[in-house]
Amino acid sequence: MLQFLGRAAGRSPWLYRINTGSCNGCDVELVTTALIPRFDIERLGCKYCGSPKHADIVLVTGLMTARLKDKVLKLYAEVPDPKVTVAVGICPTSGCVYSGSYAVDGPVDGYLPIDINILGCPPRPQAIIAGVADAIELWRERVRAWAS
Amino acid sequence: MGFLTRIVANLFSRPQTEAFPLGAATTPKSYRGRIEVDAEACVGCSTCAQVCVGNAIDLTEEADGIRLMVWHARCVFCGLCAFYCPTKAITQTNDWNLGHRNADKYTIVEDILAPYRTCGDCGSKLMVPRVGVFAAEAVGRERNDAAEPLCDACRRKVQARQIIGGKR
Repeated sequence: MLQFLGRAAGRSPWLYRINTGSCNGCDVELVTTALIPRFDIERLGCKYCGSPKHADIVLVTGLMTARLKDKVLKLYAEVPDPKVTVAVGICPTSGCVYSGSYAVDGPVDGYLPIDINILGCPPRPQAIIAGVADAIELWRERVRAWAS
Repeated sequence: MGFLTRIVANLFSRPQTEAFPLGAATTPKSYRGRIEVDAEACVGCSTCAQVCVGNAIDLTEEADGIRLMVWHARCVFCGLCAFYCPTKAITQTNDWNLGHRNADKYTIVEDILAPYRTCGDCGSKLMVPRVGVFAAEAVGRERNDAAEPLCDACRRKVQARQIIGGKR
């Protein structure tokens, strides 16, 4: 039963978006990637969900501002294991043009275990899809390891 | 009845969805993507580091040249460096696929060494722009084209000797 669940869950990861203080550019790109038929991400079996408790792949945007840090960590702790964390845009990776600001606590990988970085400011929809496809591979490995 | 013909026509038309993860992606030729630096054309003037909004470019002076590093995780693809580069050493490719695992975060860099050349007389190191690029006229063709360029101090000596009529 568990093995069947691992196989089935590997084919339909649910995506969850955490905005850690992004400028909204990457968020708009994420929504554009997922929702419009031109870059249809649901072909890969993905689906956006509204609750962190349902999430499999967490997409992190933004650079971890000081005000949002506690809330983001609380939200991330609610995502059940196994999970894959993807940093979308260059802000979570390096802090981008805002790094060194008094309001920024980033980069995000100092607080969350980031697995995959997608670079771009904002990334192209194709780059996001490539990163999510990579994340799905990782998610399959993890969920199968978890089931066996 | 218009919608019925539309439905029937849609049944036989190709999908508008991009094939990308399963097929090739379409990228415009003019897309501003990953930065590329030509080590031969670079003279290490640091104009790119001055204009870089994300502070992605770092120049360090080494024994045999000037090392230029672009950390792509800070690059916003704005193209200011390529615009202001006086020798056109920096160009923007249309490569956008820079996704990587977080362990490789600090290896996603463009790392080049703009080499120094050696002065023919005293053997000191100097940066000489390649023929055909910035300031080639100002620096002087004979200095540029020479197999062994002269540094400023040696060039002054040579010219002074020529003026007073002495041998080189």
